[in-house]
Amino acid sequence: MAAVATCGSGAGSTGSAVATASKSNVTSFQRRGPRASGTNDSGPRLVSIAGTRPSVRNGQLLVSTGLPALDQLLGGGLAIGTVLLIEEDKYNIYSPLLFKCFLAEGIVSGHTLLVASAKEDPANILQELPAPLLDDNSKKEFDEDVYNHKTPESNIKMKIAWRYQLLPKMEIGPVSSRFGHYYDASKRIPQELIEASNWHGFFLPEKISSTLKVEPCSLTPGYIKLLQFIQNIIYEEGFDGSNPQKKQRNVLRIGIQNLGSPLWGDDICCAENGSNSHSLTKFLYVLRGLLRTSLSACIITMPTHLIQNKAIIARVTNLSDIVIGLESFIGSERETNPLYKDYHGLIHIRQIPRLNNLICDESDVKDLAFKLKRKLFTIEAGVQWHDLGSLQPHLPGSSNSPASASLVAGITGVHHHAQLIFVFLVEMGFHHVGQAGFELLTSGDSFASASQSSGITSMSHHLRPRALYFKENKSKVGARQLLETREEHLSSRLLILTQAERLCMGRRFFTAFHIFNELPCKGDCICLQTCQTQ
Amino acid sequence: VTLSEGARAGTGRELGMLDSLLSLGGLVLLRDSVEWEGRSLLKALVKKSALCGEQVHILGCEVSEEEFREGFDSDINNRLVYHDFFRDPLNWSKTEEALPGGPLGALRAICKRTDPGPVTIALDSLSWLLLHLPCTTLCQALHAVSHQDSCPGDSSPVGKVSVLGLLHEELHGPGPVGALSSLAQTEVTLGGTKGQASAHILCRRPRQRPTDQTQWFSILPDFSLDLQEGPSVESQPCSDPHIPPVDPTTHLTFNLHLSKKEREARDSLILPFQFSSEKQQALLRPRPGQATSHIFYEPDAYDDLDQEDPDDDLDI
Repeated sequence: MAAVATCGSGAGSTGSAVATASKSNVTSFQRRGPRASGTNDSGPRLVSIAGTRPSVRNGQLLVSTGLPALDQLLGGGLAIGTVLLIEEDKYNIYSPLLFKCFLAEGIVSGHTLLVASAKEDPANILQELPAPLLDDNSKKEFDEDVYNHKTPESNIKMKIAWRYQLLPKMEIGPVSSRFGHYYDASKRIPQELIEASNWHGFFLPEKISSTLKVEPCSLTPGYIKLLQFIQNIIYEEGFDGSNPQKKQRNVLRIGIQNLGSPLWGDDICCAENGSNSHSLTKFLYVLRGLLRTSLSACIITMPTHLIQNKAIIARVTNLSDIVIGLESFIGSERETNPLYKDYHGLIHIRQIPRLNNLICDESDVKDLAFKLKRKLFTIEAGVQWHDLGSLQPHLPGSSNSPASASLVAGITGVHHHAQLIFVFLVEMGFHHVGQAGFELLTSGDSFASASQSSGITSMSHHLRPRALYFKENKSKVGARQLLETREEHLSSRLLILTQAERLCMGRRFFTAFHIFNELPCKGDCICLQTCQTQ
Repeated sequence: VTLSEGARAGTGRELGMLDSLLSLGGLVLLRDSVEWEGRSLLKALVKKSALCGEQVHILGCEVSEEEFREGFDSDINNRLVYHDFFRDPLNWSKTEEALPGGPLGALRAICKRTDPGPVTIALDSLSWLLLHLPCTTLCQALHAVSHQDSCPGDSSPVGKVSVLGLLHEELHGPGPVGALSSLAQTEVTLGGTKGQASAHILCRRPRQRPTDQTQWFSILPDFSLDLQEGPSVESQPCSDPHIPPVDPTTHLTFNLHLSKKEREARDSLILPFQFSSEKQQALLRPRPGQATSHIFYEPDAYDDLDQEDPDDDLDI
């Protein structure tokens, strides 16, 4: 168990970002002056809990869901205090795997677990958790899986002028102290890890006697018991800060399996207008209140395909923070569809939250499919079917391969222009703009037209937060101010400037920006200005 | 056996699936309908498990005991333990033989038995139970019964429990049927064509893909199961033979086919983002005057091209 406060890969917060940058010379970000947050340390403190890291976008503390690909789709991970709802697939084969990966990640990170189920004994569930892939054999596992994945593609006779064919895959390196691990679905977790972990189980048939009388219009007794159990654990172990002597803070991971099924005593799966049709929604409401006031994160799997009243599904979706639906191809006509022949099902991201933010961290890749390989559960996306799980979560200002940025942004086509394209990056948590010589999103000098060091853009206007706008020569303009003033004075959302806009934007426009430089900045944005002339 | 492969019937390996229904344990749901009744299949399975030496308990709710026992010979009848809920379902006669707790109490009592050995419980029928009990209670009881054998560390080794439930599909909406089939380990849907009965068996093993299979069978008068080949599949009337299939690639204004020479030329074409070593060398050779990356920019009408940095005008 990592007792040392490691906050995962990369730099997510204000102070350490620049410190590491200046030390390692990875980026050209340089601080303009003294710390903007001041010496009184009014900025957000790093909460140093093992297995968590702050989000780069909104400063929330994130935990990994156990699947790095899913973390990436959710914008870095699952925020503490939120609920991840998984809509089960029809035969309930793949959703337990996600559930178990979440719990296994908790064990590996040293978090406390709370497992609740009405179907299986939690001790049995814990015995079946997948084993984490540790450093030494992980590369081997990946390589063999990658080769298996690559061979069908090489048989395709059609050659595509695709410049990402040659891009190197990013380093995969799940290390025990880092954020996000890979799990081997064919092996069980070692027994000593389970014994070393702190877990609580809630098995409904044991906790409830069958002769309890149910009052109408209240929560079903199973839900009441579960809520009381969760509340007790949170209070006793101090996850809500009630135990101030506790020095080492930890995260509680709650996993609830098959919520809403008849085994919990809830009849939403049996009847359309049952007697307790509000029981589940009340439960979720109270649960969310418990989670928001404590350091916990929850995963719930729900058989929504059995719920008879579709309005309940809509309410449940609204009451959860992140909703992911799994649709497996078994038994449907898609199983024989050649388009899907390598995959086992589709993943639908139905909802992602807006946490302390006006916009949500929408992934631009909407057609996601999953595949349970022999050992690994992978999620692949879009036209390229590129494996999202192999990409490290990228941060701006790091000289990672641009493939990561492009693939996260869901690039399906590359548009080069002889002129530069303005791209804006809206980022939270960074105070100052990068300066001279900053190259972002250059595709590693691997193509001759390096003069077109315009990055990769996507021409979709949904990409509001993803525009990146980088500069070549020196300027001391505060980027945040620029974007903020544009927003304020032009009252338009930040967009990738189309060619038409760029035409209108002459040098005078930049001058106007500079004059407005002195305005205080409200939002946190980074904008790196690029200069058209050499 | 994938889902699509299992649709064929008639190979030796697959014939055994109907026979081995009970060996898997858990809840076996027999879904019948008005045209294809399932009680005879239920009785055939009961007979088979009785002959195997298992304990067989019958919860009779829908038909009388005499009607259920009809057709069985005496040694099987002696082995069946019959709990009668047909004659007096609400226990009005208040006799001592009445089991407390109704059918669910009887189920729980069966589970609490101390003697080991596999047990088969036949519910005749689940529809009756669904109509008289809340669905959630029934689901919880069935789950408790059928999963009893999976708890390790029990002091008394309890044998495998199979629960055979007869469900009349047409009596219930999709809700209860869906809830019960998600609980069931095996689901047998009865159907058939032209006098030949078939059973579509869907087997859900935990954490594995479900397998399904269609098995043609018939029940003999002494309630033994006779597995059969399916009826001969008639040749499906294909598309009208008078109209030949249309080839969409003819009569196009563009060419979809490549000649061999053209194909070779296309294959030998080097795509812009594919790098051979020569191309790489050409790129790596330092071109004169290229220190950093260049931007080729054609100014347009609105741009002014003064080379001064506008930042120099600022007076901060």
